[in-house]
Amino acid sequence: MNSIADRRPATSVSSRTAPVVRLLAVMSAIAAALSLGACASVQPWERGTLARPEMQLDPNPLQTGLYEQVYDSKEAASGGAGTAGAGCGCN
Amino acid sequence: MPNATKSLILALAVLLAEAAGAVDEGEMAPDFSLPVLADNAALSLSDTHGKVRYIDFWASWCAPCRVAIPRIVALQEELGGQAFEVIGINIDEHVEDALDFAEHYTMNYVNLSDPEGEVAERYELLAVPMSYVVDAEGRVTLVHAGFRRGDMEPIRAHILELLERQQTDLP
Repeated sequence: MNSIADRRPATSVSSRTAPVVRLLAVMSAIAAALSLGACASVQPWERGTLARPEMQLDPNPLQTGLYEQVYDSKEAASGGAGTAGAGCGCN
Repeated sequence: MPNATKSLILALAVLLAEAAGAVDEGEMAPDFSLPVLADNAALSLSDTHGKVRYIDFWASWCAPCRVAIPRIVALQEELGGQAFEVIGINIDEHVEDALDFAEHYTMNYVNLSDPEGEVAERYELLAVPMSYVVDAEGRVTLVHAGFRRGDMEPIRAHILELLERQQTDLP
């Protein structure tokens, strides 16, 4: 009658290194997945799109300046669209 | 081969492919063929083999290009000919923007159009403008990223040195 120890497969070099290889494979797969993520950086040759007027926060700064001046004049409220000065109280 | 090993090799291959570097000094300049701006004719880098070339990637939306281009025009005016040529590669999405710009700056050298950025991607530009000095054999001898006032002097000196060396190498 065979004992439990006899039925256990003999330990080979490949069976001992397999967990290490598997661990490395998982780590590499995670690194590859991270590098292939959806957040891609904009390449230098693709920045033309970002430079277009419609991509600016204020697409027409001249017009905005005019509107602000009209608003200031009509409402007598200077600096309504932002802060004036740096908090020193000198202006 | 065990599946885990295969996965490991595949993952490493993906990582190495991602890490492939940009065109650097000492490397052969990758050949390209692009249409001339507002023209049906195409020009490839190999067509100008035997000349020292200054390849400049530019765009109409790029502010430092406005500093660089008048100086490149002067460079072509001074050295352009049998032994030297400037090749501009425009990466504007809309060709009209590039044409307006070229007319404004009276660009006196050949400009190629790369609206999809295929060649820019192959060269893996780090900035715009980005320029490469390529010797007569097609080897990149100088890489220059961006442009500021005073940058043209060392570039010009390098080109003159190459041209001089080329002259002395002639039988």
